[in-house]
Amino acid sequence: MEKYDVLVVGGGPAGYPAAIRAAQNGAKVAIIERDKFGGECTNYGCIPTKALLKGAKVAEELNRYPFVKGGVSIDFKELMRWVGRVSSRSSRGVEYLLKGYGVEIYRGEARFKDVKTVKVGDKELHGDKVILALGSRPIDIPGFPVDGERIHNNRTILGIDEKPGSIAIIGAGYIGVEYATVFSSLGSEVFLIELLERVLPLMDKDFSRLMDKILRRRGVKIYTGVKAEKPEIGGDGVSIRLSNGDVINVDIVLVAVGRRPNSEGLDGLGVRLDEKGFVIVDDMMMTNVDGVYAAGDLAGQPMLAHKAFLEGVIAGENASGGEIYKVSKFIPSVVYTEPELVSVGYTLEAALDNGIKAEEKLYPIGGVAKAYIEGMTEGFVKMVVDGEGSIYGIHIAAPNASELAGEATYLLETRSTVEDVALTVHPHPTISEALKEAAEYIIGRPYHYLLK
Amino acid sequence: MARKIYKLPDIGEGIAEGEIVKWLVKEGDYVKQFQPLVEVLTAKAKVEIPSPYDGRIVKILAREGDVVPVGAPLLEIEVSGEAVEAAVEKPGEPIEKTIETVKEDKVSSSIRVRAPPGVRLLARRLGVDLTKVRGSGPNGIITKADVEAYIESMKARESRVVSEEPREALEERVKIRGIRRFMFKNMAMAKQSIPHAYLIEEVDVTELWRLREKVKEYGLDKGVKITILPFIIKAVIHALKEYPLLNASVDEEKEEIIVKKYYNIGIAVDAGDALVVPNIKDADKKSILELAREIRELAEKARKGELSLEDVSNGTFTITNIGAIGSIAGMAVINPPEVAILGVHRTFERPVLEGDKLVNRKFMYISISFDHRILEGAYVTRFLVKVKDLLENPYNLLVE
Repeated sequence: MEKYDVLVVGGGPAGYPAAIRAAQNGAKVAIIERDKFGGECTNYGCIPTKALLKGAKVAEELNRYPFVKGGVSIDFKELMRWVGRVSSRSSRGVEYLLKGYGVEIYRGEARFKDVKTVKVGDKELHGDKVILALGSRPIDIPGFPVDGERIHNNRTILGIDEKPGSIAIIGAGYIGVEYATVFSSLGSEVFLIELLERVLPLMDKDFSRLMDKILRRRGVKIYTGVKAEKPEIGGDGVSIRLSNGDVINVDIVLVAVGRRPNSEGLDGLGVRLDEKGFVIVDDMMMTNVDGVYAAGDLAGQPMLAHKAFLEGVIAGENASGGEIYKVSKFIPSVVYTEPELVSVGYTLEAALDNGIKAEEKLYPIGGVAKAYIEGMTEGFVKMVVDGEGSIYGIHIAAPNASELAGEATYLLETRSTVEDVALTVHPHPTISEALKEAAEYIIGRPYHYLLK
Repeated sequence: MARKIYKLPDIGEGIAEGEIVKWLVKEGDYVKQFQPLVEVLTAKAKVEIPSPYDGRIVKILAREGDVVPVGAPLLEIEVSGEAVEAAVEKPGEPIEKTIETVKEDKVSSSIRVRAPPGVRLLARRLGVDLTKVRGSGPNGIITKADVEAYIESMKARESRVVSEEPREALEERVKIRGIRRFMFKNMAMAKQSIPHAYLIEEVDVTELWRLREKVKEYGLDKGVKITILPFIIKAVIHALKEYPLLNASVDEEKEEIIVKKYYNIGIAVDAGDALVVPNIKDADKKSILELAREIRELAEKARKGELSLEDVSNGTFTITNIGAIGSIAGMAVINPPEVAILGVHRTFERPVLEGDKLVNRKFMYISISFDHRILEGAYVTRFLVKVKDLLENPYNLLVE
């Protein structure tokens, strides 16, 4: 049996930072991965989808400007090959880092003998401390068996090498909306079906309104408050009956209705789970079992890579003799649509629910010169503030808004006020000026916006 | 009607908990806002906690005698009035709702504290509540230096408190319960209501000890260890017969002295943690041997906590033989409703001039505490001298 100070199960965005941090602290560390390093994010999620979006946007952007002559078209096969290369390069980078820090790598399915002893192939590994980073997987919906041919989830969709003439996307959360953006940019006919009343149902309502408008303009057919009934899979496509009576015929279907944690069997090992199957952890990422940590999607919502990074580092640090706590309260969410969406902190509803006398102020992005240069003037910066200028939430819809997510989160983590933002110089011309302009607007003295 | 859990509020400066002394309301009572609900004893004072609402007490959640921390549920109240009703949607739910609100208030107030993440981590590591730290940065932003300064100031404050704290740590609080509680009440009552007066007499007990030596073997043959106490009881009874006002009790209401014609002689027994006084019934009718046997039995029962109510009731006069343990002299407290108590002290040796020769003789002091409301000094002195004479000439006990 091989003995380690720290045994990390799972090589995704929670597992690999945990392993690296523990190794940096001098621990003898092993990591187990059954698929590819980097996990869902690097191989099936954030990285390839953003590459795909970039590819789709390039052509679309070029076609947007009047001075570009001649049609620009995309070779879909080449695009998908490039997307694959981006992912595998990223995954290899993770492996390179792990090896460089002296982490021992085991490939294969981890089978738990007890919570600290794991079999991989014919090897038995024991960790004095164990970090569970088992991740999550897409939720299937009854009647839509994912076959990788006609019915896809976020993993199999990356395997297609032919641009679909038409696609039905079930679920208008951030994955659904991003893929609707991709395929509408590429010229596929897109049907977006959402059970709840609006697209991006869990985000700020102004995002839903904007995305609904923009996607419809792109030709996406949006069905909200509608359920997709059992599909009929034929030789040349899929026929789906909707609960409103419509029948749609598409080449392929993408199911994007959410994810669930890979926590099966952990309770049998003595690890406590909550009612949704997430592992319960404290602010050191320790489970109820002494010396056993959990991080990432397995340890609760939101299931986002940057939250997994945060938790992985905390688990890795604490498992290797350090003492660090999860003090970061704000996890930004980013949606890579056109324009990009960023949300961090409370929405107005959440602030009011929490007893804060808040109001929301919306500043349209059109007042920012760079937005016009980027060719996208639809969008806004919205702040949820109280009468003293304390900021409780920031919601941005703007070109490259994802690059503002860090600043927005920092403003909240430091409990900055709108005055602080207004007094901080933001370079011109950038989209980041929108934050400063919004702050000036809230204070009541904007100089790039005419108050009526 | 909305149900609310009312919790022990923060009563003030540094009070972390309180003892529920007395409930002033009971379940089902209707209360008005600001009506006192409960008496709570804190480290500093006894306070009455008023009701925050008009309403009906549904359930009392803390018992009298409980020591509860601030924030612990005290009672469930069904609140009348609309303001609160609107805030709570359905009956059954509000308990959880109330708790949730409190929790979230904490979160939002912690959100308002202005400190960057690095400072927050430092504070978390050091266990510092950032809401208590004053920020020195722009707009009151808390810096790492502020957190460190706070720690220093807390340390300084702690070291100031240290000189006081260990004293409490070195103390143990013992509840006054059971037999000790009886002593606690009875002795206070005796001293507060009876004006005690005291006399002491010296007794030459050389002959008494000699007599006791002579009968010791005889007693052991009968299975009893004879001490000098049965002789003292005999002497006391003879003296009581001559001075009957000492074998009495007082009826304060009727202002009468009840003179007893029976002699139930109490003997104070050290029962380990408290004093108990069983009495020998009709001691005047018992022989030295019988007395010795009964003293042993009663002492045994007292130590085992097996005394019956009968054993400790209806005493007429008490002897406390504290000298068996030590003490050269002392003043006992009267065992109500009796009117006097005799203290028997340690025997000691002293050379005495006999003719022109120094001889070694045994002495002891006997003391008497008496109720000066009904007994006066001359009478009691005569009694005490009688006892002394009988003990100095114990053979007379055979004659009396």
